Amino acid sequence: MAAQNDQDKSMGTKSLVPIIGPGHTFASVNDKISAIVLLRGTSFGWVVGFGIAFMIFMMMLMSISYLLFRGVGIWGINNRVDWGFDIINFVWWIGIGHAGTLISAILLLLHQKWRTSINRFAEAMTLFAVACAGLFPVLHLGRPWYAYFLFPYPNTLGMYFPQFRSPLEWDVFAVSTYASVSLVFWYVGLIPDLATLRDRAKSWIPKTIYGIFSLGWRGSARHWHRYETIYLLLAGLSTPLVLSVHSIISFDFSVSLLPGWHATFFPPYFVAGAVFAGFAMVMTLAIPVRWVYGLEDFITDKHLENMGKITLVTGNIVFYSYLMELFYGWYSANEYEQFMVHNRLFGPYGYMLWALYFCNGVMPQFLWSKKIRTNSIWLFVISMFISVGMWLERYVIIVVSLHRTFLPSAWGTYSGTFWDWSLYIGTMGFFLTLLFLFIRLLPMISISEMQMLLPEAQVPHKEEAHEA
Amino acid sequence: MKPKARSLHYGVLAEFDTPQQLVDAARATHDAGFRKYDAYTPFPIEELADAMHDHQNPIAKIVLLAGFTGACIGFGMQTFANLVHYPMNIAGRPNFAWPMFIPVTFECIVAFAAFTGVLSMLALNGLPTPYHPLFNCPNFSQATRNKFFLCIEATDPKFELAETRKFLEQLNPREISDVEN
Amino acid sequence: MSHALDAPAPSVVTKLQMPALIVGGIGLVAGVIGAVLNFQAFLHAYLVAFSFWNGISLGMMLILMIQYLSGGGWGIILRRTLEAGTRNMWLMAVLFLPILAGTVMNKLYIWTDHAKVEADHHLHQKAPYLNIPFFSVRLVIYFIVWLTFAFLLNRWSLQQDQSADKKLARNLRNLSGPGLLIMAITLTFSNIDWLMSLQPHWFSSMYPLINIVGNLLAAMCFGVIFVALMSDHAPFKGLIQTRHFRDMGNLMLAFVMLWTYTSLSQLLITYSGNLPEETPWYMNRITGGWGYVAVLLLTCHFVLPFIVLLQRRVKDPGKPLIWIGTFIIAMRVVDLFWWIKPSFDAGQGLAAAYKLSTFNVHWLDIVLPLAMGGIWTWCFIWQLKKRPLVPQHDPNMKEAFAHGGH
Repeated sequence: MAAQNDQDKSMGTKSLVPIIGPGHTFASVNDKISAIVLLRGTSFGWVVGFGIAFMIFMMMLMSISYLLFRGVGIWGINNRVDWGFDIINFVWWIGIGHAGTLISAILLLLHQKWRTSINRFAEAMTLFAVACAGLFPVLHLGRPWYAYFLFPYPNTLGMYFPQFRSPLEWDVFAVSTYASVSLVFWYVGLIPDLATLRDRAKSWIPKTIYGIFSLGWRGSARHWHRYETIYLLLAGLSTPLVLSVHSIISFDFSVSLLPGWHATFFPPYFVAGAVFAGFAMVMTLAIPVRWVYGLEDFITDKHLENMGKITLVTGNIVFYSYLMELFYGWYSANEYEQFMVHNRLFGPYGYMLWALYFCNGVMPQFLWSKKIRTNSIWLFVISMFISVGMWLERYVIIVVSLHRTFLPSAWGTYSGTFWDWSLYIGTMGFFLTLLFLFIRLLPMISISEMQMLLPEAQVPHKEEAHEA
Repeated sequence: MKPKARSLHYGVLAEFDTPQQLVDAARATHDAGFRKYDAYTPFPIEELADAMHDHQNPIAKIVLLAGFTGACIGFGMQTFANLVHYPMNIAGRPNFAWPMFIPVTFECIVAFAAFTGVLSMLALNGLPTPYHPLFNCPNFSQATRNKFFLCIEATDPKFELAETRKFLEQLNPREISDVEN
Repeated sequence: MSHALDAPAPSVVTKLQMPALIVGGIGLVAGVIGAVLNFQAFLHAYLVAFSFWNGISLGMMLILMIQYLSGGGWGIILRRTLEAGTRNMWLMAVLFLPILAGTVMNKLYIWTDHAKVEADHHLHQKAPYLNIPFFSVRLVIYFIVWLTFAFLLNRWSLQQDQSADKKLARNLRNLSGPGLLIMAITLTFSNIDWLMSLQPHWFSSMYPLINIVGNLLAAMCFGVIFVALMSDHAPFKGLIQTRHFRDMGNLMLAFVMLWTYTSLSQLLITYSGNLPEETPWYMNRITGGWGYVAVLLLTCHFVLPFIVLLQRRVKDPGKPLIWIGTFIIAMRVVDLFWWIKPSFDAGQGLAAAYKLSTFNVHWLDIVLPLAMGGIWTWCFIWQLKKRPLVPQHDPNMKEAFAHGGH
């Protein structure tokens, strides 16, 4: 009996250790996470990092300014390949954002406790990635100052509604809903932690600012009850939302007739690709952050391993899609589809496809090994390959399909110009700038949820009370 | 001169060390007949809602209703635009091309449901509340760290300052303080 | 853990075995008579029945692999039911023979007809894939793969009951990961071979995925129905908690939503593409009498189950899941019928656009799914009785059945 109990205990601790380091109490979790924001101060490393990111961000602003001055002609797009870096980067960034929602919503619904320590960080990443993504289609409009034409609004032109039967219009609804619901979800999650920061802050400036944004949260049990309900419901709403967003982005392509674009399995294929890219990006960012801020107790190897597993699963779905694309290209018995497959494999951009297969098809297979899944350096390297691979995937889908369509007389070539690259790299600066500010100003791990993971937080259910 | 209706006290606040003590205290408070009281914790405790008999929660219903409204508005808007406001032949499809209306309808459902839900949560919780009498208690800031509070409010019909204090003392709190309005 | 874990299958289930055998037996006789009277009509109905029951066996295998990877109490509770279903794989291999016969005799698929293949450019191009020898080779591969997986999953799970060897749990997980990948590929190609090639001019890369999701949904419903039936009896009584049923109900809900997502995506993309290879497939299924079936599917395969399964008062007690599960399974048969049946009287190739299928039901379309179901269920219960209903020594056991908390 005693042995049984001992075994229970060791099993209990064993299952806890991976998610949260040993020896933590309510106070220590609370203090450690809030101290990163309040007490640690602005380190030299942060200033350097932020400075570099900010300079790259400035490059983005410069690139946009020149774009507004000269027009989209400064990009590499032409009459043949009229979607280039703008749409590639849009899809790339928004795909990266999807892991955040997946971690915060789907894993919450699946009672995956390990999500707790990375969900805040991943959600922030979602928001910043969507902010970067949103820039591209707006700039791609050519006259971005008329972007409001895309929304239904009463006006003097007599056309109150946009063209609802175009997937590009669906994008407007999908991306704006996704961005705003993600923001709200993130903010709702932050409210209790902002109250914590308000109460921990020593000087009056942060106290006031955190106080305003915490909305006067005081941890009332009656409030928590409603709060938990809406948090769960938001998770329930975000899950189909995140699927719908990338599905709608896939409709941008699949609703058309172009070989390589028109395939009925595009929606799940794109969703899997987005999750794949997103988890790779979470790992790319979380691994250095946990090392710099000493968060190994909260973002443990177990987290990295689980993320590695999800990357492996989604990676294989994506790889399945690549292979099936080839098969259906042949099986269609349609000469244009068959040419598309041939052109992808051996055409002028063939090297991109092979690089893509290597990055997204071969590299993730290393994740079958537990040793590699628990090795943060390996994971970091593989994640980098995946991020590159997912960018190549969109390049292959968009450019390779567009540059050789039905009529050989309309064939062309495409390559990005300096302004394409400067805008693309610039958005990375924008993303990192926001991320640096987030790490400095807000708790990057949910304090209240981490406290809930401690064994002391569990109150056993009282049966009599339930019956009464 | 202060208006008479406003009580001098907001309530009596008891501080506990563990979630278990707080849940027991909340249960005892409810059993003693108090109704206007609240518990304050750094993280949600599922059992507490049960102990406080706090089962009413209209948020799920509000969200459902808002989602349904969103569906009607989203689908209705597109139907109106395509059939009445500006009928247009697009690639030979019928004007009522309902498969093409699904994505926007879906986004409207989610947007309506999510925003209505969050706003109703804030409204029902009475947030934002920048000032609250409890914030005057020096130790209350620990409610967002590692302490667990129970406050019996003066508006409760059974509230009697001295009596309530005595009642709370039986529950073995770490500390008791009067909260002034 | 004082429950009688090795209690035999309760009578509430075993008493179904005899009726199942009677239905199966009568259906078998009727099926043979039907085959003699009209072999082609028999084959058409048989393909629906086979796709459905084979789909349940395969769906159970998929869920079995998923639950080894995901963990959770619902998987441990469902495991023995699912395993019993996968042990019916050999039965499905035997039951495939009439379809093979129909293929070889050139009664089922248009691409087996040499004259038509030679006359049609598209079919001629597809001939390297769609020909009887290669079809048979693939068929053998699928069943070897499926039978191997079924054998290993069942064997290791039984061994785990007898010994607490940690290696077995690891083996099961290690098999399930790559297994899911191989299952996805075999299911895709078997779907292309057996269903998509009924109208070989048409192709849709989403179609196999809809079929996989449909299999998962039907298998989940079937498993949940049996567990819910047995939930008042040893060994499940006291072991199954509200949250387990809620998880199972949520999985059913998730699969219902996934079915809708995949089906509507395929419709939307086909609708907007308006290509001659693709659109006739839907024209044959949403016009005339088939249109009513499509509406029935939209309302009863999606709207109704979705609304019902959203509610906790349906999921938490478990018993209502029996009714909603049965309803969904019935709709799954209708879905397969809607996929398969119009293929036969519609025109092929471009002719499919103007020679549309008219709604028709043969008496075998109703008898054969029931008959095969009778035989399948009889074997299933026979297998279910063979092993304890709750597996032991699962590493997640303690966590999955702990009371309180999450």
